[in-house]
Amino acid sequence: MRGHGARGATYPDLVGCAARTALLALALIATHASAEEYSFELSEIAKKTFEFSGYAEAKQEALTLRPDSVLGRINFPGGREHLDRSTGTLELAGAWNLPEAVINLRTHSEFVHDQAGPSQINRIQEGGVRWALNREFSLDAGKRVQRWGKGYAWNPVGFVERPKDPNDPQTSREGYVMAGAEWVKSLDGPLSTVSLTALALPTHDG
Amino acid sequence: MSRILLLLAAWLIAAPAWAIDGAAILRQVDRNLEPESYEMYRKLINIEPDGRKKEFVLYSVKKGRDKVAALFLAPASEKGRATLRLGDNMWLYIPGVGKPVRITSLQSVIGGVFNNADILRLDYTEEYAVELAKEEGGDYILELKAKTGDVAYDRLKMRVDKKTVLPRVIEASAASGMLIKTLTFKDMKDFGGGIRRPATVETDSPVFQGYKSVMLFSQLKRREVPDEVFTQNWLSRLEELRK
Repeated sequence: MRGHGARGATYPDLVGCAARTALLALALIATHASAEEYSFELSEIAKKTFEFSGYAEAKQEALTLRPDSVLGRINFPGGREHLDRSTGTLELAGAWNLPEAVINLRTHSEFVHDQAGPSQINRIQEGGVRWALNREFSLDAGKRVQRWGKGYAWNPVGFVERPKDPNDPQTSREGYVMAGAEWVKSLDGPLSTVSLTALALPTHDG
Repeated sequence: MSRILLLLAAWLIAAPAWAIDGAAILRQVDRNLEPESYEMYRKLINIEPDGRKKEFVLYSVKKGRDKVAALFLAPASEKGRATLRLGDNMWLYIPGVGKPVRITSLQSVIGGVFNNADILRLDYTEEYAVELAKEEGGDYILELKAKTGDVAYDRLKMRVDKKTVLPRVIEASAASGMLIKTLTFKDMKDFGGGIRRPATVETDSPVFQGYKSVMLFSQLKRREVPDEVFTQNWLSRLEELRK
């Protein structure tokens, strides 16, 4: 009769026992890894009252220019053929989420250095408050970027937008100071949605 | 002889009662997976052949039969992006770029194996008709055909657990019969409010050899939101719905 204790166990028994223990350990590790692999924590979806984000970019460009072209003559009257440009960009954004309003701010800083010399930009790209009175009506005030139209490089209806950079049409742009109101209503029938956006922009001569 | 004819007549009358009502099963699958109007959070994980992973977290709301909207919460580079589906029409809103642009059901806003139709899924009964329903072991097998040519997959073969009336595996095929992807439902979870369904959906595809995508569900609950939420104007405001 074979005993159950280690003292009475044969070599194959010990090997089998070790193998089973190793398999069990591997299974536990695998289970743990699987659980970790697909974890979805509530902290990942918690709504934050304050949010901060941003990005930094360093760019080095070596440009070959055509001195006889129209743009070449306008931008570089001295007749430059090559331009080496270093650009550092820092964009920071913050938002304060209130129950019925959002206050946000986005800044843009850029340092450029090339043969023409150094230059620097520091500005508020956009910032202000949006107040949702209800699901249909919201008010907005501050420096805002309006994006009308779907054109990639140019929009015929971009009345209150700054021009896009043709070299980088997706780059973020500076807004205009304005106050706005938006009303949106869903309807039953063939006309499913009606919306109205009203904007007021301060203007001055000179 | 008359007794045999009587038995045959009785069998013919009773036969329809024994037949499997595939449409009713599919309706039950839809309601067991999600309430008609809901909110939920999902994490989508794309796993590449070399093991690299990319994760996305989405907040979604659905209303009625054909309105779905989803907001990206993570990663930071995608935060604020939002998608809207009204029937067969889909739009993508990217903050800072412009007005929402149209997207198609077979594209994918996240890359990976899940396409836009998977991410903004409507009820199966909305898009598919049951062509064949049968029993196989402890499962129902439903063979579904797309109602229109605009649906992402022309055919679905759905293996449904008879006890829970929830899908185990769905094979999605093109009109040519080629298998496009396989969706596997795992990890049964009680979400509360009478909602008990798989919390994990894995998919792989012979079209994307070695790639795999996983969808994890959380905080699925009934919620009615106004119709205005499902408009292009609201894509930049979806965060306001989150509590």
